Amino acid sequence: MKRLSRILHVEDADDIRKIVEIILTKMGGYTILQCASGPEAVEKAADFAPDLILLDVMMPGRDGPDTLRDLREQETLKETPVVFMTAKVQSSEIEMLRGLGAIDVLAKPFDPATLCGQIEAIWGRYQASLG
Amino acid sequence: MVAAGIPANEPERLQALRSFEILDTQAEEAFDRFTRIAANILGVPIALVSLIDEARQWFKSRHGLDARETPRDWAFCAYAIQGDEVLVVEDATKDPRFADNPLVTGAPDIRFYAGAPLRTRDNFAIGTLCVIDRSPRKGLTPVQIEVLSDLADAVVNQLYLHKTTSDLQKAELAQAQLGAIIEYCGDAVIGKTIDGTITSWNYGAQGLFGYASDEMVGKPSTLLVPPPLLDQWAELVDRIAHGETIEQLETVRIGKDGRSIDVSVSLSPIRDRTGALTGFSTIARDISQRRQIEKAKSEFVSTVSHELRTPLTSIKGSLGLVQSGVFGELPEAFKPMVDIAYNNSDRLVRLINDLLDIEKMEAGKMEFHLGPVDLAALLRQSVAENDGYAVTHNVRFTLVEPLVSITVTGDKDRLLQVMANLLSNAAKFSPPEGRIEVGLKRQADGTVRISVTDHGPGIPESFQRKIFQKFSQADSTDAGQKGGTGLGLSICRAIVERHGGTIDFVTRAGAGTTFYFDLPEASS
Repeated sequence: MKRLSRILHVEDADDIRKIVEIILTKMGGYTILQCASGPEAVEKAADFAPDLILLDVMMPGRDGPDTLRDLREQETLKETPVVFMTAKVQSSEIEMLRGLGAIDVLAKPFDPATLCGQIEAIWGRYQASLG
Repeated sequence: MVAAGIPANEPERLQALRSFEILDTQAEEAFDRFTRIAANILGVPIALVSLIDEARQWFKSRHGLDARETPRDWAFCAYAIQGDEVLVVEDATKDPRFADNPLVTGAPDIRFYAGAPLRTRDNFAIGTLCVIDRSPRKGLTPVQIEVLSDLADAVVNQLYLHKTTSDLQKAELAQAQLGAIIEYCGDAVIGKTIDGTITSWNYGAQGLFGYASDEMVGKPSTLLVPPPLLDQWAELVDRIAHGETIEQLETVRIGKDGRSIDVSVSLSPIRDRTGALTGFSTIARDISQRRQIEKAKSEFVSTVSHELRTPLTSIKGSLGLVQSGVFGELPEAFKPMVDIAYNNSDRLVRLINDLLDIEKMEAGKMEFHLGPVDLAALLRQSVAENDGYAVTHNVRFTLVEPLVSITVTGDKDRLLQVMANLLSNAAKFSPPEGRIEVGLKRQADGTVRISVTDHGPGIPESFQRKIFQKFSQADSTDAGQKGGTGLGLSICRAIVERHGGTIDFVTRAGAGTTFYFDLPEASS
């Protein structure tokens, strides 16, 4: 199974970016690229070549779903697994998000102690599904 | 003067008289005709249709007399109604019954009287057709008596005709009133034949759909149904044809301008007197405004939850990082402070989740995904998942074996939510090293009982009544220590009740509490 190593994180809230940076780099040991908006991610993602994209849902301008659509238009990002991160937890909304082509949805607030574990579990299931 | 007696059947007789609703009505040519004929044929100056009421005689028709009524005691007719034959008085002055009657000693100076009883079809004598002369007479010939009797029968027929006409008018008036109520009631009321052809279309329907009555009567009601919903419509018609009534079904219809309208419809069968189905009626109400309000509220709740969760993400995230030691070991004095801050941010998250659940419950929008649930497996899973509470509170969850394998129809996640609540409560209120038993039992009435028993202090009597209410916590000074949101049991009850079950508890001060909920067993 391929090891998860490069993660692109797209999130407009500065505070949350700071926290996720520390969790993913210091606790998880991943190489990460932070983008503060959908358009920034679209600009930089291909060059970064992430294994996995963590995508915030509620962002001003292009939101999470919009950004996913934009990213999918790039050849090298067509198959990259995407996980939505959201504070909106009506189950109807979660189902809608899964239906957009993300492999999973993570709820905010998350627990720093368990976030890396959750991401690895998602990665593991994704790898297994590639069969 | 000797007053006539009261007939034995007086109450029924009065009731029969009243049923004609003729007393105190205006004079009518139809009745005046008869008194005129009587007077002319019999050659008398006065002829009357007289009706004997409780205390008076009242004249529906009077030929040759001005008075409208006289006291009953003075009435010759009060005698006439006691017999079957025509009563003839040849000379009132020579008759001890009438000699000093004011109508004899004074105006109209009655000398001769002949009165034929008016008998109803159920044989009550309600009055007379009578003729009066101011000179005495030697009686009436048999032919004259027959004429008077026949005319009396004709007057009775006229009374029945009057009643029927009056009843008809009343029915028409009532129908007109009903019609007006339906016409202007504000909701759309549409009558249809069995195959859906529109037979009536009220003002409310015009307001809702935009079509006038003459545009819709005779047309198929499917004109109003959006094509994708025609199958649903056909199914509804079928259900009504089998006698069902559909109440407040929320669906969509199309108006004259092609716009979709959110409506709530109620449909009922219309039957004729034999009970045969002749059509159905629809009452439709525009619910777009309610929909908009619900949508706005749902969006508000969603937005608020997001707005609250976003800063909480930062708080919980940063505190969690500090706690994790990723920045190095915390000085001793800092640790409890950071723990307090972290735990409370966690509590806020749970509170928001609970509030959202409560809001969904109250809006009737809590989603349940029902399926077969093996309760034994569920209890094992919930004990394992909530082990954290056991560790934190230094207690032990034990399953009462053997756990029978019983299946219910339910939402597994929601049932786990109930168990998490009950287990965390039991843990919170148990003494250190305490044991909490989780049990499963099949009951005689086809339900299954799941129970959580602790050996803590029990629930104080003052609190027992309120325990399932929102935001009730055993001791508000304690609340901060015990954690919890005060919403848990309220949510548990809503979930259990949505599963068709009941939740309750037994408690003994100083000995402990058992919370239990009963669910109907799944039928195989």
